[in-house]
Amino acid sequence: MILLLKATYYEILKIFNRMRTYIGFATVTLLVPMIMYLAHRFGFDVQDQALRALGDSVMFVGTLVNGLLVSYYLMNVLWVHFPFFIVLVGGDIMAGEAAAGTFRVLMTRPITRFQILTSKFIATFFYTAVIVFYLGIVCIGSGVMIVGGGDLFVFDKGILILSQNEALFRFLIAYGLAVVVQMVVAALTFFFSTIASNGIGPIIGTYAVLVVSLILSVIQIDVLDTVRPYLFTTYFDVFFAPFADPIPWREIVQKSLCLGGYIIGFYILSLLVFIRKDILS
Amino acid sequence: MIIQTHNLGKRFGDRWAVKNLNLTVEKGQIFGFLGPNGAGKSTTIRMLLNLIRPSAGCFELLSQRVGSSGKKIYARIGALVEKPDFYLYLTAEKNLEILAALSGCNSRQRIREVLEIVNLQERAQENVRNYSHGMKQRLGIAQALLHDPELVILDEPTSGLDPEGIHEIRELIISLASEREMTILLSSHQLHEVEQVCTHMAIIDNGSMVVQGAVKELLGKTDFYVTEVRIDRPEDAYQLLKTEKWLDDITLDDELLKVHLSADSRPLLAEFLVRHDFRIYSIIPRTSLEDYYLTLLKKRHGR
Amino acid sequence: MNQKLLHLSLLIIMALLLGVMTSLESQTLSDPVIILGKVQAPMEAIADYSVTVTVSVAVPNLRMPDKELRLFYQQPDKIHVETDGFAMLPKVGLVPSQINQLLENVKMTLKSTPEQNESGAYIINLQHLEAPSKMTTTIWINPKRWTLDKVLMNVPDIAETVITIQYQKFEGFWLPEAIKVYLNMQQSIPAMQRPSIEYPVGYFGGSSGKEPVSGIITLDFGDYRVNQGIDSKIFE
Repeated sequence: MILLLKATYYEILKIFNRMRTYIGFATVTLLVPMIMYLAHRFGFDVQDQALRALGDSVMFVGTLVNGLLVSYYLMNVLWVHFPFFIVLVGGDIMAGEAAAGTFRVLMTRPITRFQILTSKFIATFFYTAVIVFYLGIVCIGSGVMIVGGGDLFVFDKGILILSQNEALFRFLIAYGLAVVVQMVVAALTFFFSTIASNGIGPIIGTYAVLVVSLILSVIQIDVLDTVRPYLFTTYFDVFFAPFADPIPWREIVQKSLCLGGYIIGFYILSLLVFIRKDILS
Repeated sequence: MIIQTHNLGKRFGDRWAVKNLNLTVEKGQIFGFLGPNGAGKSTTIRMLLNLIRPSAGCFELLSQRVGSSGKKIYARIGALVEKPDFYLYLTAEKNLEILAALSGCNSRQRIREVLEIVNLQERAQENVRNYSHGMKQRLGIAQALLHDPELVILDEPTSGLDPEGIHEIRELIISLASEREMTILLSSHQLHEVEQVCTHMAIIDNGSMVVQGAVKELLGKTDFYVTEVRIDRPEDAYQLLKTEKWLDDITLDDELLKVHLSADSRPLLAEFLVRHDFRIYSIIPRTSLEDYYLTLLKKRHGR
Repeated sequence: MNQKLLHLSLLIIMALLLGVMTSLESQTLSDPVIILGKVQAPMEAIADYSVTVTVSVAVPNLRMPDKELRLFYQQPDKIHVETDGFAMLPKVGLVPSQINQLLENVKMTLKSTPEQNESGAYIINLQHLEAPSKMTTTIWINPKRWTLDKVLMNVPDIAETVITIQYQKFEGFWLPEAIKVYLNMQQSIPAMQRPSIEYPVGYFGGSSGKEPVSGIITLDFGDYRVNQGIDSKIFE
């Protein structure tokens, strides 16, 4: 156990000593405040559109267009765009060592393959959690600073306006669930990384599966109804669930368990492959 | 027994890379592991280091059956397999720190010691990315020695080193065995190096053991002596001798005749040269690992 | 006798005076401008006030938390609202000056006097001359305290809004204690769904808003501070 913890610590250290790790952080740091500035400068008319029906009777005080609203909309990057930063690091975590030949050095140590793989998996989880929460912190932080704070305006069986404190609590849950969602992507790319011998294959492989699964999940064709429950992307929308009122905990737990099943499934597959794998490079 | 393999085998598809290998390495030996490319040396070492799974047989390391003891036994083994690969984006010291932690030792003092042993202490804080191949090779040896192992497995340890570096590593290997009582399994293509350093050796070919034993004993077998002959008109002598059936082989190398023949046949050679009016400057029976190795393999391949 | 006659005469005079006074007091007005002037007159004495308003919204397909805000008013028509986010307030009845806005470009007709309706109020119809949607407004004026008690705003085919205002007397002024805004909309807020895998950026579908819906916005007023002076900078 101590060896596993030590190995995990050094895996995290390795991840955060690599340039590619910071591509995601740098992109988030640059792009998100820029988007916030543009939203602040040019705004968008979602409030007027949505509340048009009431406009003749009431006047609106304050604005619903604020940093939290932009942050909420920015969560849409979690579907397809943000996973790139996950696969960029996760795809290389096993394949990178295989390609660089460092597995040879690692495996001559008194550490088991189970411990090596598990430590890398935990480190991948750690990176995923850190970058997802970093996205959340930068979105909400820069949003509140640049666009301003206030109530969060979302759609849920109509219009739902959440107070700022309530919205922040919902964001916390949402980003926690986003970690689970992104961890499925990480686990998939981790699996591909285990069977690949370079870092490019897992990135392409993961994206191919992700995009195809998303398309199959999104397209509303009856034929696909039987397939859809088996696609992990079907449960990806769980990170928007906390913005319902009341919070649909049952749905969140069910979807999280499904996603957790995929994470464990990909982990076990990776383990089976890696334990039997001959290190020939 | 430090290493003992029992009918060890590894099959890739239909081809046996290693078959029925019974290798025995005892404590304190510097054991040279020789064989041509593709003979199965690396595959054997990889099996010993748990990098690949044997298809047949089993083996013991430090008198423990590997597999039943888990990986704890590897805390007593150091290894450098093929080229030394490290995390290029980390410093040499950090690389060693990681490997030390995974080996159960985490002493900064020991890291400094091994860096001094391989003469890298001055550049310990540099990223390995900036290291030359020779420096990486030395760092590879440093990591193998990090946890003060009882058995060190070195695969081509002097590859890429300058002459001074090669000499230092050879000296180091000898001192590790003599002063620290480490057992060393040395795989090398440099027969001269094995001859100079190793006490014992094994030669494998096509995945099977050809011979193993003490270097002195094996080289002492007169069958493998090469007789170097310096005479006048060496080209004429070469043309005459190459058709003779009582010698195994003959080569002409820069006016020096190298005749492969058994010790019993050596007087025949002298008689033959005298009978054909050659002036003999010297007839010196020599043996070297290289000759031994090449002769053995030629015999094996029926050439 | 003389004394008795004197008492009787005084009694008759007092009765006559009382009758005249009562007659004067209950005199039915017929000019909406005068009626509205009576509503506005007491408010002239209010230079400024601030009040805490708690807004509760109960509108189908619109859920929002109760909102507490601070409303600042200064003569003649300055309003400033401080809130930590977003709030919805009725367009009429919130502060005295809002009645002025109602009266701009309108044709006023007295629909009913206190005697003619059960509510006992003056009911005035306002025909908005510039409103493109043929909006009409009907207001109920309480003749006892000269307050605006009810407003009905009708935009044909779009919405009908009824605003009822309850008053409390504070430092001699009748000021709103509670306002209820009853919304009757021909088009509701669509039941837009949260983003899901089928509609990743939010679903603007649901009920298309064709069926009429009703809702209530309730405002509770408290912590009035009248004529205590308000820095006019906050209205800038």
